Amino acid sequence: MQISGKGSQKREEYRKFVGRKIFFIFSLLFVILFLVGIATTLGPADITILESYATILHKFFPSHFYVSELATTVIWDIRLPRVIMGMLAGFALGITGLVMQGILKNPLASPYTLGISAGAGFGAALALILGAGFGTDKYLVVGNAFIFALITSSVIIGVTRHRKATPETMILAGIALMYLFNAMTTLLQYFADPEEATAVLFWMVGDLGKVTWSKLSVVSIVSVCSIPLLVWKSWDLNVMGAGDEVAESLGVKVEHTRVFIMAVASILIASIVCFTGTIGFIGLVAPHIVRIVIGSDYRFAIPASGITGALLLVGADVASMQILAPVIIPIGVMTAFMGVPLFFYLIMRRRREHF
Amino acid sequence: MKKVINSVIFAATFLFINFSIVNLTAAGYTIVVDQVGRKVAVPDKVERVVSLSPEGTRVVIALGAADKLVGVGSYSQRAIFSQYSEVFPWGKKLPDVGKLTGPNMELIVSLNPDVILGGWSYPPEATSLIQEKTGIPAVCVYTNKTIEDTFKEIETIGKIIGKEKEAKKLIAYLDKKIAKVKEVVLQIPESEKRKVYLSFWGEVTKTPVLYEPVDIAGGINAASSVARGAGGWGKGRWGAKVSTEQILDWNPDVILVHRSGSKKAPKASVSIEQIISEPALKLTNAVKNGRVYYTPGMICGWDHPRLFTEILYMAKLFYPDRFKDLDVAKEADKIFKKFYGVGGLWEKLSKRCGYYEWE
Repeated sequence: MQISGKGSQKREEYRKFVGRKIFFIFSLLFVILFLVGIATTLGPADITILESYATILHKFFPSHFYVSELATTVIWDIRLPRVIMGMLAGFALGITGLVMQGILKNPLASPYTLGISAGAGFGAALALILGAGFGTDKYLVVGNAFIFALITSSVIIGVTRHRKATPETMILAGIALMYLFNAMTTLLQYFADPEEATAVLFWMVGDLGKVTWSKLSVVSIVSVCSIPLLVWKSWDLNVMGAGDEVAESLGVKVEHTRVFIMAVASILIASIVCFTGTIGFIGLVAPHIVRIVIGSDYRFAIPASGITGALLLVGADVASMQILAPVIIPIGVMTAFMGVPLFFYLIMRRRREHF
Repeated sequence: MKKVINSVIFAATFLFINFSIVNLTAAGYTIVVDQVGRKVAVPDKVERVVSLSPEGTRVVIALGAADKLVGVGSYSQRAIFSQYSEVFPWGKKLPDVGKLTGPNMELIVSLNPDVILGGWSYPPEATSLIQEKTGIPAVCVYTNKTIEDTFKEIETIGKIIGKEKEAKKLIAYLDKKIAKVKEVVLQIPESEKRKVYLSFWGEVTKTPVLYEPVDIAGGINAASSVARGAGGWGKGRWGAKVSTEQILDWNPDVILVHRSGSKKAPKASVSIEQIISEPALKLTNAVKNGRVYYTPGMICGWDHPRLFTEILYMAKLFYPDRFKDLDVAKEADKIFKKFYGVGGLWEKLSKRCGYYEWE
């Protein structure tokens, strides 16, 4: 009697904990919707808040709202693509960072430290400075960045065919590639004209302003295809957290899972980075924020980390547009400025160890 | 005892060095104040010149002293000799002494120049360091993106290489060209002035907040409301990155796209088609009225003949009615000839870059 009472008490606690996680996710959702609502009304063009929303609703109920051509262009061609890309990119960065940290059991793992961003950056530099690469005309930079991001992760995965796919092998291979690609980019910049060198620098710090609906649709399709695959593996990830041996004994093919998640996450991240440029820090910090607040049960941590990433990126983007308006501060810089203080606060306050 | 000897030797060397500097400034040397305010003792008779920046190299050629060049920086090779390879076939043979602020000092010394022409010197000590290491007077000359400094650059170089008269004549010639434009622009009422947006540095949303050719040609730079130095980059922080929404809000009458005609990587630069197809810009007056053009802009600093041609070119683009009599192609050809001594350069450049051509 006493034992079962204890059990139900534990169960009650667990239910409460789950409830707290769900509450956290929903409150984040609420905040991001609020932020997006604000972001669409901010900008240099003279459009009132009411007009902004009327313009959005006009698309769905054309007969009820009357709007100017200017407002339509500003809202639908400039502000919405930017905000939506911010959400999608932040979501993807947050999730990939989380699963990469998970499979590599390393708190420093992110698309940055694994050389994927460095690969994309080198691809872009190759296109911007030498005009060489994959893709034509205006897709040259995008195509190159995408291909080289994937080359990086293919090499990492390729290494695991010869060595066991342990976290150390993958991280060391990734860091080696990061140095290699960074060195090659530096070499290209060194011999480039000053204008071309700055173009590369600008690509490296990221930019959400170049987003169009067609680019958004590509990113959305990749996200819709790959994110469910990652969520599907969340239980395997949970088990792997207890150690490779434990996971194997419970029937999880550890190495296979590791390579699978790495591949899916790379494709997702490559499709984002090639359009926005390298936006750092979010992939690193969003997962930690989530782990500190709701723990590392991947079933909840994956969506939470995605939404946190989206929140950080959209928030940073709004700040980067407003602080020195009309001059724009690079988004890649702004994410660090906003994320680091928050991160520090959480590190000082955290009570559990996660790795 | 040894100490005493040492200090005597030291004192003697010290005195000798001091004397030699005094001697240097006294006989056969003149003090030149360069464009960052450094005082440099330059020999009166300069026969051998190493020019680190393309801007300096261009002026040396324009003043008819190309034969004095014994070495040039990498950017000179790229921005002059490969751009106008048909005019300067000898340029390729000039030793490449490397980057502007970190050149190959040993190579410079081995070329034994009388003077080194440095560029915009960033950081400011860079040129002093070159002078210190090589023991050869090094002078900073640069356009600093203003016409005033461009003239000063020509004057300073003229003084150094003994072509003062030629420099004065060249400045007077160029000044007259601008004066003619200014005269017409003066009559344009403020309300009729064209608002201009410049898309530079290979991106639609990168723009200079300060671009004198536009002002002289009577245009209003849309980005001039952005304070120089409020963010931005480049020397003097004169560039800014803005949003497409901001451009739409400025609503420029004319959009000019930078096309320097660099032979490399034309794919990565912005095209007129890209501006026109940019959904966010379709409501601007410029795109509505089809007034989007390429413009020479800069290539590794200013290419002087291009700069002065650009002023005339812009004036006619902004106000075709008021500059009816101005034949840009003809004038441009003359200006290019004045600098590089050969005709037909503008025509070739214009074709290659797709600049607007009048009937």
